[in-house]
Amino acid sequence: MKTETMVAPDLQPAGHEGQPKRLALIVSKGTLDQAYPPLVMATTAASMGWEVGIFFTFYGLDIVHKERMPKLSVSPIGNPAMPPPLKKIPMHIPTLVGALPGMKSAATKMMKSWVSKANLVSIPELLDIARELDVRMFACNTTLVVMDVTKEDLIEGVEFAGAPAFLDFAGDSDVQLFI
Amino acid sequence: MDSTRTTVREVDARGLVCPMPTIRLGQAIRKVEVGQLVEVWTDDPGSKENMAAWCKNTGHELVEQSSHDSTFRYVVRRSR
Repeated sequence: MKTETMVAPDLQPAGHEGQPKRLALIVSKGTLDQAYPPLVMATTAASMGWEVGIFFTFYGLDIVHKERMPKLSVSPIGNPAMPPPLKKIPMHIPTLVGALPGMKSAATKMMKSWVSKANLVSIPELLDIARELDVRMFACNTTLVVMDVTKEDLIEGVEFAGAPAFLDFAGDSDVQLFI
Repeated sequence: MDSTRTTVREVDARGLVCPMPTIRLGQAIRKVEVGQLVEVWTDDPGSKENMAAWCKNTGHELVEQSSHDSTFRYVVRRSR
């Protein structure tokens, strides 16, 4: 086994004057394929010692909704990722076919199968890791009202914030992303 | 340095895709004391760059790295 000793990296933590870096994410979409990128980015940043806050707004709120979160799905309609890259079926699936019954379920199953084959964790597991690593999850107050969701409908650990409060958090951040 | 005697936590992230190895390392480093070592095993081909970036950001020290075939081993010391 080849062993090489590394030069110790710069020990100064990233960020301003010794403060940890901060990541602010706004998550507005509630499909399975749109739930992975923000949660993967958030947990990775938190594992690197960054402060992370996610603002779940509009359909994004489904990701932290107790009943809707396990049912997050992939829509085959209007999704630029369709048709899926299937070697066995090297043809374009017309959008109209995506509207047939069962296609949404098929697309969702397909994505879950890729995720599982790649040993990537599930959305509930990513949410658990996020909580363990102190990722702050904010539910948009206005969305609760607009979408008729109560605080009890959401998973544990979610905080509640309005746009001004989250912008206050985001304004002091190093990276801001809208997903 | 003989890291085998002082490694207090091992993370077997073989088979896990990026960024799971570094997330698992982040979870493990919180569970050891400052000065203690975490050893990570991974087959992520991008792990060399990922581990360097992770250590640069966290300030924890990458004290040792080695590779054998397609498996990589990293030893990280909790620095703060």
